[in-house]
Amino acid sequence: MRSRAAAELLAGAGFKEVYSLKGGLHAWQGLTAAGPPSQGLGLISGGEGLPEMLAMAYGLELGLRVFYAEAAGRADSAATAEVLTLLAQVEAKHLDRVWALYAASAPAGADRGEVDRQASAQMMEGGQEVERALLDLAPEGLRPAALLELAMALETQALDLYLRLARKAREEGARRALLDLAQDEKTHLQALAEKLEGLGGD
Amino acid sequence: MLIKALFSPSRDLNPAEVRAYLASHREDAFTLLDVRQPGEYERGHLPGAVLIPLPQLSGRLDEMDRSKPVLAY
Repeated sequence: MRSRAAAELLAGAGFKEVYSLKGGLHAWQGLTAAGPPSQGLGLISGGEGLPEMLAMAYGLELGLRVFYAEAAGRADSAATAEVLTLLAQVEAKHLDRVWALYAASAPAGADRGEVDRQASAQMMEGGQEVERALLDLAPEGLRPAALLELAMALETQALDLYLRLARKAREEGARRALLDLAQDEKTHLQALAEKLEGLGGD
Repeated sequence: MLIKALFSPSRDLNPAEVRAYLASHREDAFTLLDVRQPGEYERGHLPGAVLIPLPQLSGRLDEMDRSKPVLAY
């Protein structure tokens, strides 16, 4: 088992506290994020300041909000629409938070309309993936449970990106903000999981 | 073997314990380490995990902060 072998190696090399996942990732039943370590980091040098990092986060969150709004428009039941509207609202709050961080750190006169426009332009490509994801779900997939699962998968990807960005950021302020956003994502995921559980048999 | 176990402990955690650890520890307080191959990482990894394939691990130990706990899978 590679997990165990790695743990033994690390412990033997003097790492103080070492844990391994029994059974490796095969045994993991939670969500995972896809993509190589460099995903989403291609345009990042690490030397970016807080404003640049937050602009990226803003684009990401905007994409998520658009997804929820799109999905809500296709909801085939009141229950589904309700779940999606809730998610869109949560996302809108998160977006406000990212914007507040950005406005506080950016050069004077940050224009939210302009940032929205730029983020939307970048999202056109991502938007096609959103379309595809929604179409893939098909009518039966637009049940609240399936939508919550898709939301959790997207949020897990966002969490992964924030964490990898935080590791690459060299400026402490940027790193802190990204870790805070990652923590927000973890909280979102927890809330989504509880909502999913609350739906019970769907 | 016994001496090694006494002085270089590592703990095997089951998935529920790992989930609890991830939920209760801030990301910058520990290193989440994926020791599989790049293709496996691409197909699915735990959010924020660092990738150092096992064959390379012994030569890349200095990439990790020794003062922080490591959770490897």
